[in-house]
Amino acid sequence: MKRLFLSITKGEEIRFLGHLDFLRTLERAVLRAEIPAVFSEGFNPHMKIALDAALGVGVVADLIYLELRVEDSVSLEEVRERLAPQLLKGIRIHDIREAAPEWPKLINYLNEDSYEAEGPVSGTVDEARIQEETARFNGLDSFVYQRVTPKKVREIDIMPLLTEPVAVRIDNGRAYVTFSFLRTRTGSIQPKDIWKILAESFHMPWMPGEFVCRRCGVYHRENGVRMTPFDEAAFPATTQEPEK
Amino acid sequence: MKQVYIDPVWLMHIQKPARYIGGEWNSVVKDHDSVDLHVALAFPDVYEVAMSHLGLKIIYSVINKRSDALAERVYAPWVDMEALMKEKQIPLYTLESSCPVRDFDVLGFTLPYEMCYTNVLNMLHLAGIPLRTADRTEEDPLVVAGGPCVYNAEPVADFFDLFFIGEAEESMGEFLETLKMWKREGRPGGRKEFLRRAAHIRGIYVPSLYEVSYEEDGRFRSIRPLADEAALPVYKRIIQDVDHVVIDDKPILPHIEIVHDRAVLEMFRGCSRGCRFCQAGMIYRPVREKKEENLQEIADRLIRNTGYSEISLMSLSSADYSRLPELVDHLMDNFRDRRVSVSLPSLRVDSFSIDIAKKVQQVRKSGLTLAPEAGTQRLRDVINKNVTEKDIMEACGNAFRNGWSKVKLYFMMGLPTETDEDLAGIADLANRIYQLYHTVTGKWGCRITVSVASFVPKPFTPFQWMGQCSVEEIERKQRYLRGLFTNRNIKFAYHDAKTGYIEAILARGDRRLSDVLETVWKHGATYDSWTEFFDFDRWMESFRECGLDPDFYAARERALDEAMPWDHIHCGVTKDFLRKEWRLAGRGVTTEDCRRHPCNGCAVCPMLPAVLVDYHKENEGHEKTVFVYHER
Repeated sequence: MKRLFLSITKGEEIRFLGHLDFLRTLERAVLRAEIPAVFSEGFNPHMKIALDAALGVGVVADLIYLELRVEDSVSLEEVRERLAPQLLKGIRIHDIREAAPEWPKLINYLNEDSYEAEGPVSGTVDEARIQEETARFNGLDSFVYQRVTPKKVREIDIMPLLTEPVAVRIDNGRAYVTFSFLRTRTGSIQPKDIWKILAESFHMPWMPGEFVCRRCGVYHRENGVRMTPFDEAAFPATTQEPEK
Repeated sequence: MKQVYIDPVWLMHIQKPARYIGGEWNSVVKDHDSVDLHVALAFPDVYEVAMSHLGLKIIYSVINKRSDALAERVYAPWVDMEALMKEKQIPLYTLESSCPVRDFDVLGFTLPYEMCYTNVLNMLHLAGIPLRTADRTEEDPLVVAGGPCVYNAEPVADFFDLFFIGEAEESMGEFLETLKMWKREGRPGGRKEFLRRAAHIRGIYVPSLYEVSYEEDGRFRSIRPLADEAALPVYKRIIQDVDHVVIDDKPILPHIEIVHDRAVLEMFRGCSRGCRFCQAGMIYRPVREKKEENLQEIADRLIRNTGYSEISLMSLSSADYSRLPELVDHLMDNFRDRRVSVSLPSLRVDSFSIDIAKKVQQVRKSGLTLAPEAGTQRLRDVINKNVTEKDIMEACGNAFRNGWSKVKLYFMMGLPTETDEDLAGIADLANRIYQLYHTVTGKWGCRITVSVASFVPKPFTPFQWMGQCSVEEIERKQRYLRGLFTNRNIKFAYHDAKTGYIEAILARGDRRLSDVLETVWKHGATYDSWTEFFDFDRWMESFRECGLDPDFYAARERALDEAMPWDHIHCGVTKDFLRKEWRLAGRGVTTEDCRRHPCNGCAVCPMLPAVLVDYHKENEGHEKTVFVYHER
């Protein structure tokens, strides 16, 4: 059995596919491509396929990593050649590599996401004020955000989670906000939180919830250095935890 | 063609926005400038229901296989999307190209059930197309329809330019050729001239070419052609050679989970069992089976083209396919290593069906669904459901011996001659099946669901003359029956009587109902087949406003010699035959399935003409003697 990592795009055409729908689309493409994928045992076998994160409905991704287990009989090139013509418009394969059995699962390895949120501006746009407020936000050591869900209310200090300064750009009546944050096991922030905080607490000229999102990058961040699963130095044998 | 603009940000507030984006695998996107004819195919319900419909997929393939035409899809937007479209002034658009439906040559609906009619009006309105044919201009698309409801399309006749009666794979081609020619000639005579030309095509009914009249007491009197081209009657079209007709072997894969999310293999058309309540059993005659080798090949293509892991063997009564055991064996063999499961949607109530079900559900026994339809043998004979108590108990016994412990039983209430004794028979039968499980397995705990629908008399059935049971009486029957279910392992479910009442009105209605439909739609009715949106009082108010009595359509028993609003449409089965069946029903006399028994004279074979195709070994090579039953 081979373990493969693929980097693919979730493009504009399929922006509104949720995580499970996107995964099902990929599974069916693998089946059409007649790639000998590995399945789980039991009464209800499932294809061994997983994405690096559950992207929400409405989120596109420049890169999303896919783990797929296949029979040894198939080569990497065959997987690429057979799968590519079976993919929906909006899904493209960038790269593919074989993963060693001891390498961690992608979902455990990757810990930083970069996003660009985009939405229409409303009201008057004062560029100088926007940059001032952005700088004020970036200068904070702590910002405790109260996330209200139907089940509970949680307080999160978002500043330690942000890895790069937030940037705001206005272009042709649209606001573009870029930010990067760490994933944590106890629950991270979400792009909608940043968009809402900036609108409500930093007077940005947009409405909370009125945006779409693009994930521009996903990384393993360690000591301030970013790595992707396709970097040569990504998985030095001595430093990696065994797969759980 | 211009495209509509939708900011993705707007869709963030919409439930399941993937319903509205198109781009699914196997969807066909053609350049609008490269073809002569543009057809928008519409289903008047939400994406998940619409995408499960086989008929529209077939027509989509038929049109897109042509190099001179394109077909794109459009479905009813859900209420949140409709509000957004109105707010942002987005006209109804197709999924493939995002072009406004109004810019197409043809807007073709399928009419699968009567309760979708208000959605049709809503979609026309969202498209910016005048609701009534009479108000449309040369700029508007031709609004056409097919599907089971067109056999009595009179309640919606004023909203459609023409109807395709019967199976449209061939007539659609003839229609498109006629349209292409007329466009090429510079649209002489406008759309009226085109409609006259289209009326020449067998199976096409152009309602504006007929005039209807009514008796003083409101009963329908007659329908009269206004032009030489208008046929009387309009015969339905059928595909005689079902092995060589266009099939949809590249079905569109939905973006989101839909109601029937699996490959569909149509094994045969028609059903000749002759259940007297069943419209499909009459209008889709005769039985025409596909060859087993052909089906194997199609199944293989379907799976290769989709990546589906389930294939459903579909037909009106799937277990009646004469080569079913062989087909199931071959498919199971072929698909074993590809993890594709085979499913049978409808089972006949007999032990043979259980043997087949056993084959296809080797590992997980998900539950069995059987449809005895009535609780006593007397009533089953009235409705010609040729199933005996012995069949039911043998089927269940066989199922329990083979590991099933969940059974769903379908019944109807409000059938002709029904008494409380027949209803008690439903509860009694369920209890005996419960006991049978204990006898067979030594265990208790079999779970049974009894689902009882209220009966809606439909045109082109032997029960088309009967008065429907009133809403009050159906509700009394429901209460009575509920009181008989005391075992908590038996779940009793029933349908809303009021929906069935409106459905009965529309099913056997005439052209005057178009005013009611328009009124009720103006009062906000859409998605009437969805319990959460159906508003009975709104319908009743609309009848009052239009001065029409709903009971006149639903509750009145019609005289056997009364003219019916659908008499000018011919499904092949004659009114004489239906009358005979209605009388036999009253006496509780059954009629055998003509498939492997002598002809009953329904007339479909000699009248259309058509030939029953059955690959049962004993039937092969024998020509059947058929006749037309006439009453003196």
